Amino acid sequence: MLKERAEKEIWQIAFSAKLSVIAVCCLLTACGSPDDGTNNEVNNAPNRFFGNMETSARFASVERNSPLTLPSDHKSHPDFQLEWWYLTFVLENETGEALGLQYTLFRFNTNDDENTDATNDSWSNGQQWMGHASLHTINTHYFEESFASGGVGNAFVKSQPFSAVIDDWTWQGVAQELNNNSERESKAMFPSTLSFAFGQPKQVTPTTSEKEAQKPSEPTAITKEQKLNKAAVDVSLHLTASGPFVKHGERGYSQKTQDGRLRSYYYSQPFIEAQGTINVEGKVFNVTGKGWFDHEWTSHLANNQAMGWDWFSLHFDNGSKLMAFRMHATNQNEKDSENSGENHMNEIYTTASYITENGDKETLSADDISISPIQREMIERENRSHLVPVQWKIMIPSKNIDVSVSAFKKDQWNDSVFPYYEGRVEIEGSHSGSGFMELTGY
Amino acid sequence: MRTFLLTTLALLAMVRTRPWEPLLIVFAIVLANAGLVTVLLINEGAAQGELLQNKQSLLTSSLITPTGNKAYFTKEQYSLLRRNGFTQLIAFTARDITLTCDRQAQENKGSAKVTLLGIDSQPLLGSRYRGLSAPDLSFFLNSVSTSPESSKNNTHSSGARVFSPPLTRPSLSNPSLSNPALSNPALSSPPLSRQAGPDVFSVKGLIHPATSTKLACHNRHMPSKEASSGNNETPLLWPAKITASVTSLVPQNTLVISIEDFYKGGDRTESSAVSEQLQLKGFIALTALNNQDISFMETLLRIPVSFKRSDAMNDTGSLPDSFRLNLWAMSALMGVVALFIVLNALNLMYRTRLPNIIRFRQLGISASILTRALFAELLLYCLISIPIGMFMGFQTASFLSPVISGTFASLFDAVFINPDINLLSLFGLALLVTFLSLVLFACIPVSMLSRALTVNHAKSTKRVSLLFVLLTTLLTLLLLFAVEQYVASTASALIFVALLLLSSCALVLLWLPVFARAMTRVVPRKWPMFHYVIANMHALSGKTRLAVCAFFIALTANIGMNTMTDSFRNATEQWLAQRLYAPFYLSTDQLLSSVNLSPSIATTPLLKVQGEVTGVSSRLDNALRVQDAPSKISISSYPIHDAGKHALVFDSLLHSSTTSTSQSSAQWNNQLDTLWQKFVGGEGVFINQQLAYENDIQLGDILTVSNITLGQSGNATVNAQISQSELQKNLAVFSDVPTWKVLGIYPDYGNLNGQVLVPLPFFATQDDTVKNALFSGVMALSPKDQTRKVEKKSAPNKNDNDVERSEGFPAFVKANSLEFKAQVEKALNEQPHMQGKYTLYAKQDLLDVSMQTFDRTFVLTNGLNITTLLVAGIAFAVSLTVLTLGSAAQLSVLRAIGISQIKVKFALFMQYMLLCFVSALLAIPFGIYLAYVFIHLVNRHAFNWTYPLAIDLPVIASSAGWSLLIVSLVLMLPLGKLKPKIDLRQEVQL
Repeated sequence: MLKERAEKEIWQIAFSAKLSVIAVCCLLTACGSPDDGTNNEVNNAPNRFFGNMETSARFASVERNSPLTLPSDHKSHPDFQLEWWYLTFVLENETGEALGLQYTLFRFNTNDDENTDATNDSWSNGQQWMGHASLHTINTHYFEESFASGGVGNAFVKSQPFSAVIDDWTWQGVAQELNNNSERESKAMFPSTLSFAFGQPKQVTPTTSEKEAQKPSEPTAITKEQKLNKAAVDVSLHLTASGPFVKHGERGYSQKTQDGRLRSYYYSQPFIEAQGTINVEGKVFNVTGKGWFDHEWTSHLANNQAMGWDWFSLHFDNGSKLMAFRMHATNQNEKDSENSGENHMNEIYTTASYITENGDKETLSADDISISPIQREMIERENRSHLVPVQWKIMIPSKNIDVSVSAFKKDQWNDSVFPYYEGRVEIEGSHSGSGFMELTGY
Repeated sequence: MRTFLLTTLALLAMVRTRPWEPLLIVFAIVLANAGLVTVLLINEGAAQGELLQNKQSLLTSSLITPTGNKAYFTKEQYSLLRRNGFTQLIAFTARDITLTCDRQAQENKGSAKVTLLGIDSQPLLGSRYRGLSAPDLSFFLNSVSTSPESSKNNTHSSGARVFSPPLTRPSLSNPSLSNPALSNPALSSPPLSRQAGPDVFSVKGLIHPATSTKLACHNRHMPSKEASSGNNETPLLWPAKITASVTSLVPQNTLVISIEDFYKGGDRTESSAVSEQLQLKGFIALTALNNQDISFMETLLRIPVSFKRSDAMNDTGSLPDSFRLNLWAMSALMGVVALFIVLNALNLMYRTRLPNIIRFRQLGISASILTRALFAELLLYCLISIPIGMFMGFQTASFLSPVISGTFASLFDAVFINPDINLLSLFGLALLVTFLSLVLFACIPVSMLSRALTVNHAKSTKRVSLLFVLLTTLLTLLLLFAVEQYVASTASALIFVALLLLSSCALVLLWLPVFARAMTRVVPRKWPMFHYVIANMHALSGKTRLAVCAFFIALTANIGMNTMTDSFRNATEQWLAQRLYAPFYLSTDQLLSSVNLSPSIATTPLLKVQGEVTGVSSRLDNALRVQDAPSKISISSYPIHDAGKHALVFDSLLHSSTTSTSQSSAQWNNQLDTLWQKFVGGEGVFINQQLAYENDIQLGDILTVSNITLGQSGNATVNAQISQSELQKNLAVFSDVPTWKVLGIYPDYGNLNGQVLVPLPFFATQDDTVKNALFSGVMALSPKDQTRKVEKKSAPNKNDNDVERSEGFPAFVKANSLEFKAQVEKALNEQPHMQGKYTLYAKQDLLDVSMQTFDRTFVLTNGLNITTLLVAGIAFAVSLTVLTLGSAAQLSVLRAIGISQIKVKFALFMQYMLLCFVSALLAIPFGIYLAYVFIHLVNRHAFNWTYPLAIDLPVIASSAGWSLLIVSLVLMLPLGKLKPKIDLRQEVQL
């Protein structure tokens, strides 16, 4: 019996390995050859977050004179090339242990032609969805990435009530009566529930549980624990908003370069209060903390000089918030890493939104804010290593802010198809607090 | 050191004046290495290729398919399942299409009917299914990243990377217009595009190498540069242009593409009624599902589903293993024969070099330096010829096996672009083995040489007496038989094979002069030429020893192998023909209780449980032998009607009386009848050879069987029922537990595990739940009246001729089989739950499929057979050259007395053919003995089963005939060039 089962299991593993090979092979198709030699200086540089996506006229354009409106713009904008709904949380459990949690849904328009309508007899509508889930405990990192085609029905973002779903990962607004406009704007998305389970167990779990599960012994009702994909992390959070949405830039028109060539629609909800439970490999924690939501969509984020960005969402303990964004150019890993203080050469554009505890926003320019890396960390991966600035000095003289922002632990690297740094940070200096940091292009 | 270098250089300089022998050595090394690499590759190919690959691995893996009237799932159901956490499910749909090669000016354009399999590839990109590394990853990296399709996405900005979906999105514009990489004429095809209309779009797919080869779309004559850009891809055309990557990971005769492309390119004629919905054939489950999952799924979908677990592991049984063993034996043989060639060539070479060597010695070069220089020369030959041999091996392997040609097509380029570590280690291995064996074998001629340099013995012809020869033969054979008794493992069996070959070789050497002398006496002296031929052959037989040995070994092994394969084939065929007693077999995953057929159809279900043999108590001393590791067995039901009785083939039966070695068939049948009665009465069981050999179980032993559990049924409902009724604990499997006494041992070819047959009525079939749980999904069907007829017919005709019996009654069946099949199908289709849920196999179909599999597996051995014989022929030719040097003086005399050159040549030819013929005659008994050893020792210990040795004269005769033909052809070559004159000044007596 055992032998046969073992054989079966081996076969199954082999089979999934086979499929994974198919998948990898597919992936390679998508990303192309890293050594095709056509564009050497680009290829020697690190991967840009979304590869080198070119802007095309077939996508809708971000225009200054057509600002975003809420709550209607919570929805998906399929005519734009790129879009994401980004939730990050700085959480604490009962014992005060700090956790960093991320839930992101990306949408890509991959239609080759203008005919983007999903017809009844095609499988998908040309949109591609990618979900990222990540949890940082102080010792462990769980990350999972999932993909789905748009139009199939298992990945979508809808409003009324708001829901952002990929497979069994759901962020679902609580349906409620909405009285007036302002309420509709603030309550369309919150309160809501976020529930997703992901990640491969890190600890050696006893395989007996699996074997017991295979025995046709207890035909009881399906409990959550018995879900098919025994994920390492199961998150269930209730989200409420204690402040207004914040539109960055000019009413949500957010410039990423001086000339405005790179731009997006961008708004945030930095006042999320989260509470709920996180089950980490069988241990259930009650957690509370602050969350930050970003929604951004664009068809203009590809530029050969722009290698990536450094992005910060910071919750100060005094209730104010800061979104800081710094587009950077060439690879800073190399020659100029010694004189790290002087990095203006690489800096293309810096912008920030300072948000008071009441939700009043002030857009800061490069003259108002200084963001500079202090310390770097070498993150080793199989195929290459990444030198990532993990400690930063952020100064806003007009607000008397002079803080050091540093990663709360090492190696907060998301091994995605598009690998990037995303993790929790702690703030020290003139102000204290915590937040999230995203670093791409390293 | 300097002396050494100079000596080596001098030796190499001699090569230039007499390149023939070194070339032969090089040739032998090339041949041996080619053989080695071929076998390695074929074995590798067999491992990952069609032999171990279940034919429809992707489709027969864990699959969820809809049952009932709804023959498809919808997209909505799929997304519903995924949203409820069934993220291991991948939707798929399939259709049969005709694929053609996408190439213009292709003379014999390949086309094939394949299954187009569309899978939802998107979720596969997720990290959960990533990181399971597979050995073939680098292969994919090479093949896919250089594909033109990967740059196809960048139609707007060349060379830049674009985020795009994993499987290429169809583009309505023909990519060849915008992409220079596709302007390759082999890949773009205006005529076919036109034919396919303006809708041609590009698709990336995966295809099995064998299928790719079958389509023959690879352009072998493509310039290497272009070939490397698309070497591993097969340009194909369906409604869409397909760039198919070749991989053995997908099933054969299947083209896997993304489901998106599937619907985009499809004619939806079959689904016209439901065109608004996309039909899905089912879901592939990437990870294990349990019964709860299935019932949860059914709740969600509100329709019943069927879940098929993969059981591909045991399907091919030990066929590939025995095939590999066969191949390895062949390659070892080739190695031995190649060594013989080298030996001959070395002999020849040193002989011709002798005068120069003497001069070296006179110059004061020590013997050790000479020896070292000779070895250095050999090493050089190895270095030159091993790569050539390996390359030839690659080529041969790809020529012999279509699987390999697909898989390794790109490897040839990769080999030179970036040699991977495996190749280098392979080279190292080949070099080491070759050189070591060369050095070992070179010692013989070298020592002969050095002896020749020092002392020159007066030659005395020793004549061995016939008595001595006879005695030696007798002793050797006795020794062999004695050793045979001690063979107890696979390794010792293989060593015994080597021993057998060597000792038979020695015997042949002893017998050859005896034969020659005898023939000399027989041939009358009035034919002087002929008499000379025979008489001289006797003299020759001493000198041609090595060549004769090589030829003899090759032929013996050849006969052995062929006889073995032939016996295996016959045994399998007979056994199958007899065991498949019913004209039709029904395979279904439905409940046994729900299979209702009309009373005119006799049904015999196959019930199955798992168990363990934990102990054996011997018949002789009644002592219980406890098994250290309980051996897993399957306990199957066996029908007790007469058709079943006659279908059972026995290897050995328990004797009621004392052991008698000679049994007439009447006795055998009496015994069978008695035992059958006992079996039916539950007084004992039948076990298969595997179980008997593995645990050393004798007839009459009583087994202790415990841990009887139900096998996992394919049906979810059944499993649920089992768990409810707690049947597992009660073990009410048998209504009446039989005595586990071994009454008979039956052959069970190809099975790896032990099996016990228990009479069908002993299974608790009254309870429907138990019955369903026991049901293995297979049921034999036969018309009622016919079973009776068979009984009547076979009752008086109780001879043991299996073929006649099994062939006898189907003659009647054939006429009515179609009618009967229709009847069964009608009965099944009347039941809605059975519609489309069963497969009906005719007996003949099953037989044909089995034998085709068999032939496919062993077809390669034929190629190797011929190669071995060819090598033997060459060995012969080489030694001929040595001999002509030796007998040049005599030949000159012959010419001097006026015998025409053609006659001399013919005489020589006759001599060698006679030698061959005699050794062929001697090879036949040894070949048969070898086959016996293969079957009863090697196979017995390696796989725990044996089969009867079938001595088929035509098979043996064809082996011998072919070998003689090949040798005679090879002999023609040097004979044509032979000039019976010699420079006597160069003659040195050895």
